[in-house]
Amino acid sequence: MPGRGGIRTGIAVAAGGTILRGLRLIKRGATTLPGKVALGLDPDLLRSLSKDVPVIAVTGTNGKTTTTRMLCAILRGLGWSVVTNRSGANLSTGLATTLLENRRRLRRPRTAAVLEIDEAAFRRVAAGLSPRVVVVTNLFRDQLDRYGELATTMQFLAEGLDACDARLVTDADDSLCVSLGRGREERTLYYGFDPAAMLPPDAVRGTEATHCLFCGAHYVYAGRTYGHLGDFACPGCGYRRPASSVSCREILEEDAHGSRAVFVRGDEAVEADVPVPGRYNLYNALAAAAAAVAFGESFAASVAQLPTTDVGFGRMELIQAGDRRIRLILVKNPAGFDQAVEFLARATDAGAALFVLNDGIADGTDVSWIWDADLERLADQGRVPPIVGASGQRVHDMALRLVYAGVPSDRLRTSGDAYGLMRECLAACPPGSCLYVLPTYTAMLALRARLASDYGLAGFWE
Amino acid sequence: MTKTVKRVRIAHLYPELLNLYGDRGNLLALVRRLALRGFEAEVRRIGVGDAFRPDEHDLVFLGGGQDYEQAILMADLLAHKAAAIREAVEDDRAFLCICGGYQLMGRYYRTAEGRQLDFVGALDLWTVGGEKRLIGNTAYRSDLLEQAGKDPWIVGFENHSGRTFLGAGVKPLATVVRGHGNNGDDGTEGAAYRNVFGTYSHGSVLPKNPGFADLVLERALARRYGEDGPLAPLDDAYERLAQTAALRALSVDRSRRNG
Ligand SMILES: [Zn+2]
Repeated sequence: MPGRGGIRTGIAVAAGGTILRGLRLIKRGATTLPGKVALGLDPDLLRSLSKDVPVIAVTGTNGKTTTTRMLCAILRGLGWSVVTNRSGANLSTGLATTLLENRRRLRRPRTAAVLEIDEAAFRRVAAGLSPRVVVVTNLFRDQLDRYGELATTMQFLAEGLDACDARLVTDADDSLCVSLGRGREERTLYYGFDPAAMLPPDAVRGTEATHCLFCGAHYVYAGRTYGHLGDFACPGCGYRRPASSVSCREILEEDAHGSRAVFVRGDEAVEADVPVPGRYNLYNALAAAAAAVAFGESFAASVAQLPTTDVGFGRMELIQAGDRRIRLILVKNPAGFDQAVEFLARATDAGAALFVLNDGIADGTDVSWIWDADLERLADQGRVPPIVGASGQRVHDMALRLVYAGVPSDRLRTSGDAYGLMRECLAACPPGSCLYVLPTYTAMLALRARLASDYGLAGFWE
Repeated sequence: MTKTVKRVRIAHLYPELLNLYGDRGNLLALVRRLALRGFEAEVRRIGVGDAFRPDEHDLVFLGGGQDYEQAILMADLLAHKAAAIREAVEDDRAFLCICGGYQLMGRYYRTAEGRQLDFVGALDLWTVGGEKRLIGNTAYRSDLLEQAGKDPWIVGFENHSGRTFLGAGVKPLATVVRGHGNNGDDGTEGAAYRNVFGTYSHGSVLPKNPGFADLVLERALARRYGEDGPLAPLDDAYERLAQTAALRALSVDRSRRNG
């Protein structure tokens, strides 16, 4: 029944619930509308709904959804009932909808909320949700047209952290994230790669955050992993990578399905079986394990739950399509695009690749970031797939980018109809091979919905 | 007879700090369009602490940066490079300056609070801080390009809070047809002076606007080799499709001056 918010919350909850049931009946993914209406009636709704519920917030530019999924798997495996916003509806309206929808479950014992939260929205919801743990995954340039600059994003995050007393779990290898831990040392837990497990500094092309945030000197790296992540040190003022409490000491095995690695905490070393491929997913696994530790769970038991992760739709999701496969890899900024292309360049089963570029608000209305990603590596390494498709609202920008990257025009297919082109590319794939689809956010949602009905996959709100 | 390959030396100033919003695409375009015509492009990265000698470069590229990154390079720029940049400009070297890099070439920047920061002073223009960011897709039309026999349209994306105003010593690069341009007010976009071109159209402006790319290259080649004819045309089919789609998305009719 209505909590402290009283009658106002009661009305808001009732209105939101009615809309929710109505939309479910007509089979629409009701991920934000009920929350929007309810928040309009009671702006303090998040506080009432999350009262007495332990909340873990996951924010940052890349890897929020996967880290959230991993953390859910860990907590469920450890006996928690977990409420989460599975659809990536990560603004206040989506959060309110999730909490509304689960308001009865949230009152049961041993129930936690693991919520993915947009970097800018976090500032406004942190006080109301009062999370116990906040994960900041990393800070890459992302959709700069939304907030102007990374410095603004960092300011938003700092304001959110100051509005609550959560433990901060963040990446020791990211010089931008570490600045959030500065001055909050007593409540910060760092994770990262053991510097001994990093690549030599000149093996990685890092073009972001090259200079010290505090004094402007050029960072010196003793090792790197990807992007600007690594064992950084400022020769000017001494700002440097802090020691990480949860670390990846060694990668034992990496393939198209996932990685096996050694994770350590203090003198405790355990084998981590991460069921999603790509080095950045090792970071997401470290973030999830570290968050579970900060939440009070055992390190080894948490890591042991990682294989049960149900990967987020569109994030490295593998779909069986008859005798062929489709791998969906969401791309949304240069760092993530670089990693996806690197993954494609290493794949041995690529029958075709399809790049789908939209320019909606959720994709970023400025598409110039596609030029910052190193697509040239496909041709440089002789790994251009036999068929390469370009589509989306900005199909011609994408096609031009691929031409520049060295994709020969006889392998290039372009069409404004992304689904039609996906079918065409899939048909051109030899049986047993895989079609790699790299869509931006709204393109991914649209394609995923068609794939869901073609192959009987779960809808994204389920 | 063996033909000697002609080289074009491109300086990328502050590549680690001024590289926002697809600036890499502009360099890729310059290098590609030279290579397709048999020239060899050499890109030199010149950062904080590196010497910049005006007579060693045929084309200088300055991209955009975030405020905190731009603040890092200011001392180095003013103390060690500004005089050489002014010398290179007066010596007719070609420059392409985007967004923040374009502002830096002007006389000064005045913050919204009224504080004045001296800039390079190579171009007679200045920038004033604004509250609201000017963001969005753009279509500009350039008489300068048209007079050079090029496609006059420049499509792109702008994202800046500074408002730039042109003095008598420079001409606008183009006229705003869609978007905000220099200051959102006087309808001008960018600046042109001798062989220097500045624009707010950031990232990937050159790949989609090959006429503009060729004009910059022609100016660089004229200075270096005394070639003043137009460059050989290329098959710009994909470029043209991308530019046309951008114009169409902004409901611009390419045959009309005001779109
Ligand atoms: Zn420093």
